Amino acid sequence: MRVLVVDDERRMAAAVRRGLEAEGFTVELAFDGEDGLHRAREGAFDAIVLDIMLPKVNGYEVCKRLRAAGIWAPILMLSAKDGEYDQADGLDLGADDYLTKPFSYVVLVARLRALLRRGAAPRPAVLEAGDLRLDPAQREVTRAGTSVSLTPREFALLEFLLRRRGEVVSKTEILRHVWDAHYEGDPNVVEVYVGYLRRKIDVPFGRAAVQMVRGAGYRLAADGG
Amino acid sequence: MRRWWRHRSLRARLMLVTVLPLAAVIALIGFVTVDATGRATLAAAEQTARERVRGDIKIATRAPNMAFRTAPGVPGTAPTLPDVFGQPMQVLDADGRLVTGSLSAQSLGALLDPEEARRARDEGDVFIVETGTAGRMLVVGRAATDQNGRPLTLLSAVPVEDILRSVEDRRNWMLIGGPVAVALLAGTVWVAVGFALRPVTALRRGAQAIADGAQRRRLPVADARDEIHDLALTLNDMLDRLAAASARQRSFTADAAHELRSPLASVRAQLEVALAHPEGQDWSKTGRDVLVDVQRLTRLSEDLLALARLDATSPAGPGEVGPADLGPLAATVAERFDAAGVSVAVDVGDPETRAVASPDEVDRVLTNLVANAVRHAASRVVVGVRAEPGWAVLTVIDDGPGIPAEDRERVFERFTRLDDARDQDAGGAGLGLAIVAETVSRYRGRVALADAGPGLCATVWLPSAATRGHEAS
Repeated sequence: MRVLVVDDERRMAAAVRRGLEAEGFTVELAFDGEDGLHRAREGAFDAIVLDIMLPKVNGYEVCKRLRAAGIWAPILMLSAKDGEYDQADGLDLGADDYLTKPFSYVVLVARLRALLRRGAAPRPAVLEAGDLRLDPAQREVTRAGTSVSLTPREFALLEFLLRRRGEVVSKTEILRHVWDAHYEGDPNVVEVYVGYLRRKIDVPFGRAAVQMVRGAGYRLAADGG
Repeated sequence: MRRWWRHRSLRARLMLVTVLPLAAVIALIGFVTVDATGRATLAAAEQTARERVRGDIKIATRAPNMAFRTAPGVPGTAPTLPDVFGQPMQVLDADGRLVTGSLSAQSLGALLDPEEARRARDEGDVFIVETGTAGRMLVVGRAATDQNGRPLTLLSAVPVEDILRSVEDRRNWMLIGGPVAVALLAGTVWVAVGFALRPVTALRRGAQAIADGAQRRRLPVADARDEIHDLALTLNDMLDRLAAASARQRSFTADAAHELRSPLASVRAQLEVALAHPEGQDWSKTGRDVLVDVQRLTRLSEDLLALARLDATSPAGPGEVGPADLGPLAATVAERFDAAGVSVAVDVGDPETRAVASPDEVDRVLTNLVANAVRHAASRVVVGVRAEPGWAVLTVIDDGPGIPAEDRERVFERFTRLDDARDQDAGGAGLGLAIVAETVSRYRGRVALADAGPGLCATVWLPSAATRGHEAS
């Protein structure tokens, strides 16, 4: 397993490398954001350990650019910043885990292993289908660059459909995930909300992303309609 | 009373201040109009009555036989007095019995009882008498005698029922209308003041929201360009400055935490890895590496403590510190740094230069400046000491790359590190110049960076001890 460690604390990075190599990893080091970004793009790593306060390009930016470039290697953020928002920002930008300095070496290794188990499947922080974008962290939906205002329920419905884009999802599934497993009301509420959603994300743009599949349920076109 | 007044709301106080004087004025006007006009009309009636009494004496004198020939108490034979415009006249004998009267007065009985008649006759008192059918009348009296020389009382009455009733009507209107007008006024003022105070209420709500921890720390600004608008602007300005100060404090704390945790993390990782994988471990190298981090931590905590002390203690007053002899101090500091690669020279322009400052603190200022200079110098650092009128001046000049003009202010802020100076082992945490700036400003001195072409010239002005001596003498 190849791991990239990006940190400007050289002695610490060297110690982590020695430890990880002893555990059987292959480790490369980068001491600033620019170098880290370059190596991550070229090197096909299975995981990246990324400090936030880096010279040249900071860790948040590195994380964002890697995800934008379609590099899905799990990222473990490492920082001496322990603010709630520092952690939340890192995770919302596409990092997979966050560890505050000073950390326990044992925990670092265990978390790295957990990240490696998950693999590098695409885990976009922002959901997209064609020109339809939904950012769960910012609670923001745009269609062709135009911001669309949705109610919380409509937002949840669209998020669910986007996560399963291209698949047919039944009304019962939608009810269970977007409403409540114990929802006792009229199941036709799904139809009503799909109607609302269409009127906001499809009709004004002359599109048809949300499709009804007779007798089966609904599907959100993977290309955004 | 004062206490009660102070506990009323501003709205209530404004309303009372406006309405009470107006209510007093309304009451005064009402009283004056009703009372004075009533008095004036009654006075006119009294005048009429008195003229009648005089007039009737004349009538009686002109026709004495007709008037008073009849003996008192004999009914039917008394001649009647002329009745003018429904204003009755009566003649009473000494015992107050009705001797005779004008036509309309005969059926009324004696208008006054004997005592009243005496007062009307002798003291000129005026009476208002209720006569039943004819309503109230104003009665005056006057002494007279009959042909036998017996005393009589002559009474003249003027009906005043209409006058009195109109006065009473007006008084009643005032008693009802006055309070109603005042109440209307009070209501209007209450509403108007409430309206005018609405921006204040909005301000209060905004402040409450801020106190409750609202995200947006701004007060609502009224649209009108009035005093409250200005107040809101001023308060917002203050809130902004407080927010900026607390943001600075937060970022300082966050930076300090970051700077402390980084070397700690480094130490911990090195030791944990060494202990977890002891095979082939070079312990003496680990020891040296850890020591570097520990030294970094030491420097950082020294700097943080120095700053905390500067923040916590108030500046020493003149005469309590120093003086610091700058020449020898510069020499000591230079000696400490004059080592590998870079030469540190001292150029003392005036050996008598003394500053009003604690020698220890001047030593720290110089040490921090020279450390920076040595770190960036190509080959040579010069520490200069000279005197200017009123100032003791220190300069530290290096021949390094210098600092771009736009960064020369910023480097004095805490934890500012220019990007190429991020090498954490050689450089500090970005507190050195902040400590310099803080220390110098405590002595009301100043510090500035300038281009030394090539290199950087840091200049520190401290109040001169010599000048202070001059002023004292």
